[in-house]
Amino acid sequence: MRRLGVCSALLILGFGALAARVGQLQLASGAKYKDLSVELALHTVPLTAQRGSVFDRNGRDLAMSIEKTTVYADPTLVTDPVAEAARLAPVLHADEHALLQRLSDKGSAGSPRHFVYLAHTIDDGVARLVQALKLPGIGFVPESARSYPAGAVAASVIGRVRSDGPGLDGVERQYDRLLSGKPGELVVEQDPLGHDIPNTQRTRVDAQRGTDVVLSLDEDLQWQAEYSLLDQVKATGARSGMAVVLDVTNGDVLAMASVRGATATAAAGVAGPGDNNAPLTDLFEPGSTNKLITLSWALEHGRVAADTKFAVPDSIRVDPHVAPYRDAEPHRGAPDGIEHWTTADILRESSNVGTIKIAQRMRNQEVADGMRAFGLGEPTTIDWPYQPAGLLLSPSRYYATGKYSTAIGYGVAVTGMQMLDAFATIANGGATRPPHLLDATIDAKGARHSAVVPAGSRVVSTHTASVMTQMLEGVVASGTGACAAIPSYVDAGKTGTAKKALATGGYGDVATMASFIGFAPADHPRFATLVVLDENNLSYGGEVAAPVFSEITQFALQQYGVDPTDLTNTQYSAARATAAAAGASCALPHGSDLVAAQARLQARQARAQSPGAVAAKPAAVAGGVTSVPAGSTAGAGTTADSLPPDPSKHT
Amino acid sequence: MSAQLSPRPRNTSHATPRPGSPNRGDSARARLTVAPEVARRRLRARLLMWAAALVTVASLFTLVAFHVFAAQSAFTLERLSKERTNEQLRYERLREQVASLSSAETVIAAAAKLGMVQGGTVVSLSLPSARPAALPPGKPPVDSPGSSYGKAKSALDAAP
Repeated sequence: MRRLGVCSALLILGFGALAARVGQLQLASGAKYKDLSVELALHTVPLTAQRGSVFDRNGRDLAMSIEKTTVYADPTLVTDPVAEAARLAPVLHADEHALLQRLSDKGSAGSPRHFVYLAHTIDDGVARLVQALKLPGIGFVPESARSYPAGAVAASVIGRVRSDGPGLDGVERQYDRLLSGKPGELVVEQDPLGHDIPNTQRTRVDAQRGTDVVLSLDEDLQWQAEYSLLDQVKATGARSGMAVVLDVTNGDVLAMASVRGATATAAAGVAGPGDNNAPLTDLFEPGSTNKLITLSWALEHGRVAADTKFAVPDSIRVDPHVAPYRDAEPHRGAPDGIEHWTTADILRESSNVGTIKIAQRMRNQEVADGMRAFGLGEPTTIDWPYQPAGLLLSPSRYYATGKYSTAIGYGVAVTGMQMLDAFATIANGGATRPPHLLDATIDAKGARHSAVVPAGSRVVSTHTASVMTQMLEGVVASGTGACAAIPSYVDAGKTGTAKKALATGGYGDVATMASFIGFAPADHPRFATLVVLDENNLSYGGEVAAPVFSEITQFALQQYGVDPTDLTNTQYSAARATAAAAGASCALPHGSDLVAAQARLQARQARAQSPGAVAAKPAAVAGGVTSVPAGSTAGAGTTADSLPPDPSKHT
Repeated sequence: MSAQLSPRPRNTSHATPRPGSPNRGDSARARLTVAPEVARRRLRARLLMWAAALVTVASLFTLVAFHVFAAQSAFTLERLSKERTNEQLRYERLREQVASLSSAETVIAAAAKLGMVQGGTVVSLSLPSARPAALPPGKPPVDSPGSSYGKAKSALDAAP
């Protein structure tokens, strides 16, 4: 009886102690342990916002995001990192050692690591394989992957993104804040093996999709610009090329192409997502295309009229200490070597000496003001990361030659878009039409917001613009730009062939920037187009860039249904006759013709490298080189825009 | 239980007069009231209790049923949500496919696969020299290569 009493007492005491402990845990420390338990079970998974799409002006996808699966791990839940890495590596096509490092990285005791990425945006099939492995500590989150369905078209404009989202280049970088949206998060309760526990606490803050960006680009026209430019870069062996098409009526940039030439290791191709968008980032000396600004400003300020006559020799010395400026070709037409040209003739023949004679009537400040008024020396209105302003000499530093070099496009560094903007100003009747690449944005709710387009301003009078347009028509009809003529349309434009500055100072004789900038139809301009080819084996802008201009602009005119303005082909026939007289083919080879052109180029290059050619070359160079002191722009102005049948005549 | 619920006899003077007791007359009888019937009261209590139990059970059942329906709806909702996500994904993939298949690169590649080759240099053909209908008689043809562009331009303005 007594033993029974003792046992009962012990049992009561035991249970009492247990009850007391349970009471203590539940009542005194309950909240603390509950928090600890929740903290251990709850996991926060970041939800990446779906990046907005990039569309062309017709709503075609240029860049879009697709939700794919991303694999992550919670290293604190991974029981056997070695085995899991070995099983995951072949499925994820990842390095086993790298996976092992990530799976083993459990963090410190104070701050354990609960989340490491194993593979971003994998294919659905791979995701299913990984899920089937049912590995502890391995989880999946949806994540956006960037896709560029148009392929290489406009790749250097659109740019690229980093694997974790932010834009690196181009539009992806410029409008990153709009495109990236707002990330969300998912809080889930998981078991010790990392599996979601159903019907438990789960908080989801949805990610907010990024804003869509609609560009003014036209995918078809962009492709045509790239295609025409690439074939010419291949045919001429150019180092690179750029082309831009602008809608003069509203400032829309319809195409912006960059092409890189062949190198020892890579074939020529359209610039990729990591490459420069050359028309907005690459600086070059414009050469004779800059004469548009000089002459427009001289006309505007009454220094000359279209029919003002000048006695133009083929060279002119502006300072006794520097070499004379020369025209590209000797003036063989005149018995004494002095041509009597009007302002229009000077532009048509792209005469450096004639332009310098016009600049002599202008003050230093006047020339500088003209450059500024046409937008040189400041970035264009296009939103673009790291867009350079260009370089302009201050009039106080013109010294003996600065004014004249500037007048003919040397000692000035511009982007292609700046020069095109200047031509678009003339095409638009003398008022600027600020170019823009962003057409509209579409927010997450689908509302479209048109982009704010900056207002234009008047630079020269409509009369000056009209006179300049007529003079530029003459350049195409019977001048250096004959190869730019477009069947059934009258167009206007200007050639440029600028020697490239040497790193050691002065200008070499080999490397040039060949360009053509113009607009069409000349009477009611709709499109302004720029084409520039870098180092194209001594061919002139009128010979290599003008045919590309013609083909691209013709495509644009037909694509947009612009009525023909020259059904009788008056300008086209006149231009063809001019080109034929100069021996220029004006051909832009494609297909089998391109193959033949490339073969001819190779043969020519082989001949040039032969011992005989090497011996002959110094003589040719000696005849034309204008040596200048290092770091000086004096004497650089030997632009060459005529259409010589033999490029070796290039001086 | 039944013993508790069965009506207990009560010792009351208001009950039926005992035999042999003096009859107090009608006035006295008129003051007599009928006591609430114990059995009825107990029946009501019992009914109330049953009703309460029934309500409780029904409430519980409703609650459970509601929970089941809610759970079922949650599953349906989740399924629909998943379907919506899948359809959204499908739409995006199809959109990408359309954009990719209609891109110039793909079209050219497909054409090349079918045996087509890139065209050569584009050659524009000009009509032979002709006098535009709108030109007044006596003016020279405007598209002769040798003619000055300035003259041609002035004629062009009058052309159709």
